[in-house]
Amino acid sequence: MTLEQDFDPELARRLDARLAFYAPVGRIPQALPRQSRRGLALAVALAAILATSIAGLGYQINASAESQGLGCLHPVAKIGLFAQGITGSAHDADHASSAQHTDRASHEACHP
Amino acid sequence: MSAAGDRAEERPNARERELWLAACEAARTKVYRGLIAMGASRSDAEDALQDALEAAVRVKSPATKPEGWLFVVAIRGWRRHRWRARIFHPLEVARHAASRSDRDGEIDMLVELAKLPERQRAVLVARHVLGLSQNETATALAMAPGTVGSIGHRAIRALRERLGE
Repeated sequence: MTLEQDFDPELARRLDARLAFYAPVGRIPQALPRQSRRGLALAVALAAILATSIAGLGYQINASAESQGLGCLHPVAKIGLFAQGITGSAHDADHASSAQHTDRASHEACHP
Repeated sequence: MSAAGDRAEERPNARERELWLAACEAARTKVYRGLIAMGASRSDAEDALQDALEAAVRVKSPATKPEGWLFVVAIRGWRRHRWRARIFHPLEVARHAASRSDRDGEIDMLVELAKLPERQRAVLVARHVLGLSQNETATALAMAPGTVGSIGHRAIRALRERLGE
């Protein structure tokens, strides 16, 4: 048997008295036309772009690891490898540009 | 089936619908007070109630107790609104919370009620503000009647402790 211990008439009376001054302002009790969903569409488009970017990056990281024959690596290790690849290529590019600069300087010295 | 038969089938539905909408309209004030007791501001309660009434117009199979149905739908709408406000208007939410904590000095029933966990608050409001029975509360809040009993009992005890009784 369930005892009705979850109801306190005195508490109900006090709550009723406390809330007596609250009343809703009358509004049109009919369904209004739905507002524009432009914001929702924009959010969905952004979410789709973000999801595609993440999926693409993941695919690229995986492909990069597989091209080096390290397809069995842990995903975190693959990400590390990919990041190393990016920093390495940036480093190489830096070296290449400085070497090109040196070549040009020596070329200009010989052929003013 | 003939057109007359269709009309005969539609008639009780239309009548039921009218009764449902009239009952929802009659329950407005109670549900609004329930939302205020749950901790909603006046404007949030108005918006949540309006959305719930719009949903009531669209509903296909009316519930037996409109108070409980409107309350649950309005609570869900209010909860969504709070999440959106936290994400898009964090400063306004912080300002509102600060203005509420200013009242901490006084022991107010609504302030103390708002400090209870949401499940306890919902059960207590459904039973004491909306006037639903234990079974009606259980149906509206998708709980077992026994759970409603125990949560309600704990909520009353916690509220009385907070009120220093």
